[in-house]
Amino acid sequence: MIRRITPIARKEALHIRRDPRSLFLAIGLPMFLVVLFGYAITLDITHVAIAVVDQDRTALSREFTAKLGASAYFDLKLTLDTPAGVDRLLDEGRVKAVVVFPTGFARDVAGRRDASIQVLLDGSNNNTALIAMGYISRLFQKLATDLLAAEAGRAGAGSAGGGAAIAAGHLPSVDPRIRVWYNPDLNSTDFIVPGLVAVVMMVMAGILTSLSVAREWETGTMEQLIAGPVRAHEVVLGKLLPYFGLGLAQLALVVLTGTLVFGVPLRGNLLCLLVASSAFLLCGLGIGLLLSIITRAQQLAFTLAILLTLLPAFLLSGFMTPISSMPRLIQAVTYVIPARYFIAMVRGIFLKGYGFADVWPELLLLAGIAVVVLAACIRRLRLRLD
Amino acid sequence: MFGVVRTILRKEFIQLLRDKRMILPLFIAPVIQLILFGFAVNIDIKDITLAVVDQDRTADSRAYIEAFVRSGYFEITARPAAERDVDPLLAAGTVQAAFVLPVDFGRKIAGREAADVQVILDGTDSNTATIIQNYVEMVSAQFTTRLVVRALGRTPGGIPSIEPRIWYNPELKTALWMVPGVICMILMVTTFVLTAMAITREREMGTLEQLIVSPIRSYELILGKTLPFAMIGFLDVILVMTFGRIVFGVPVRGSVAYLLAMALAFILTTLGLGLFISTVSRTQSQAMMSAFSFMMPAIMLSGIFTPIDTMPKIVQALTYLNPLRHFGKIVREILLKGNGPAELWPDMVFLLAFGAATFILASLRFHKRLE
Repeated sequence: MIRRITPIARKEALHIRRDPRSLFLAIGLPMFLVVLFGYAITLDITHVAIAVVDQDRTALSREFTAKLGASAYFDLKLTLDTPAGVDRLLDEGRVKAVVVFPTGFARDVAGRRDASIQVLLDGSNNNTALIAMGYISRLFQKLATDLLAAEAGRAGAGSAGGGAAIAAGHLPSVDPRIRVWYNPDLNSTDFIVPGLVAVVMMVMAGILTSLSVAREWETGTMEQLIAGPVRAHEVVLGKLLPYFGLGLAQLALVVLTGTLVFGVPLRGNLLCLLVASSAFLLCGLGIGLLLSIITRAQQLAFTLAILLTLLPAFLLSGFMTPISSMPRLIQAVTYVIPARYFIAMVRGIFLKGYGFADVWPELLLLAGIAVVVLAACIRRLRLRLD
Repeated sequence: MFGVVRTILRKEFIQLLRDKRMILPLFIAPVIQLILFGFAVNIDIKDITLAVVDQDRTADSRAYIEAFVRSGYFEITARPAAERDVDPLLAAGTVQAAFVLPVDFGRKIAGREAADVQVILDGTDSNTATIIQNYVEMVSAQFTTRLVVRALGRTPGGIPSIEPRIWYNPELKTALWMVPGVICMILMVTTFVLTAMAITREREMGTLEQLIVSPIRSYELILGKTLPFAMIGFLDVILVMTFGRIVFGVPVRGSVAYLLAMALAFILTTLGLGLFISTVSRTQSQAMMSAFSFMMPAIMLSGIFTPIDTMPKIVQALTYLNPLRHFGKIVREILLKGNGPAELWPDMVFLLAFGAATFILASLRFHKRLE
């Protein structure tokens, strides 16, 4: 059996070698993509461009405006006296939020009446809007508490009797002391880079093999293969082997890039990472090969491979958004997405220092998917002419 | 000329659709993508799993925890007895956040002091952690306000509150952000990747030579080869917009005609790029790798999925050269904001110039390669 796998593998390796441009792209592209995206994509939202409409023009509204401007989360672009022109600012996307202090705001605060500040948000990017909204609410909650404290201070100074108890600074408060584990600076690079490794490798693996068998059918060389004494599993293994080697090389480069260029900590077990990567590669390569076997057409196989690997790896794997906040039905779908298990493992191995003891359930499931996909390849590969 | 173009067009359609399975990537995939994008990518983070260690057990500590549950964002899934039991829960990812309320929590509040609460977050997912952090600060500040109001014995009147109004996408639905992305993605795949592969295929199979020796002129060949993909791309734009409207209520606030005109300009670009790749590739696998190498960065640096303003300045400058950035912005703003040429003219000018230049240059190169 080995004797028959080797020539097939060697032939496939020759195909790869003879096309230096594709080989260069196959090896260079994953690294390039990880560097580019790791550098360019950040989910950290700071410096949200805002405008203030101050219709009140009092010391209080100016103080609040100054606090907004001083916050690192906002970039106060301009302060207007009237709301005219606000529409245009939002339409053109020059600011993402507008804070409006209505006329009589300070008077209402002093008179203990309903005093509200209007906040207009550009909701077209819902994530940015949600986070910007959070920052604004936080800031104004703090300002409201400060206001009350100042009021209490004045009350304490003014009244002689009960004043001692409500002296300035003596007010109850709850102070959350937030500590963030595994990624204390909330650096999105540490979160994105391990995920990128998985997404890039999934897509590369899927498309690498998607043409392999279809090409043989299209160019007619499949008939020669059929005429020989090889069996289906030998063809499948022979076709996979060279790409598996290529994939491992890509992975090693991508992991090195992540740790050296971006300083993502690799805290866990390296052997565990290697085993997990191998299982994941087999899944990706197997999916590409299966498409190639079923479709027998290069265009179709390639387009399907992109569609079946890129989007699920992006969207259904927990790469960008947590799986737990997806609807139940979609959550169920994610169980068949190999990237889901790999991303969980890679993040754990990189950031949390996971080893085999922590990742074995994911590893088993991933290996299970790989076996099913490869078995399907062998079953569907018909070595006869019809 | 039209006769010849029509003949090639017919041949292309027959070839493309003879394999009925092509319907899958061409027409079914866009719809599936749209539905997945719309439903799966739920950025609004709710039901944050929380472990609470309440060492105080007073009315105040319970009220504080209750405030989180009532906010609708948190769900208490574990109540470990001691602080050290929190570690394994976070490590295993069973909970996303943990609160430790110390024994003196209630006493400090009664004594009008600042009561500390330890909050531990799982930072692996930095985006979620940021949002959780916001919620924790917000709910705590609200709680503090209530405590102060109680301590001062006053009414809550006059405490500034904020009144948010969200424009363009009041319910903050992800689908509204994603639909323009799906339109761009699908146009990339149908008009760019498939054009590059279709022409390279003729070269690989040797049928391009037959076309060369026939009396067809090269521009007729180019038109005949690219038009089918342009038509399919157009159909897909309409399909995705219709489904977006039916399934997710994605509005079309601007002019549809303007949107389709801009789609045409964008398709010129992608067809031109596809044509160009076909002139530098001998085999379909080369065409595939080259097309893919262009497509991935173009998609990621387009602002379709992640905002451009958070990218480093140099990368932001680079994105201006990306036709996808301009087209993505145009589609999004026509649909959501109802903007027209008055607001969008810089992007429009770039897209038209880039489209015309790419298509003409690629056609000239293709023409030369044929001789």
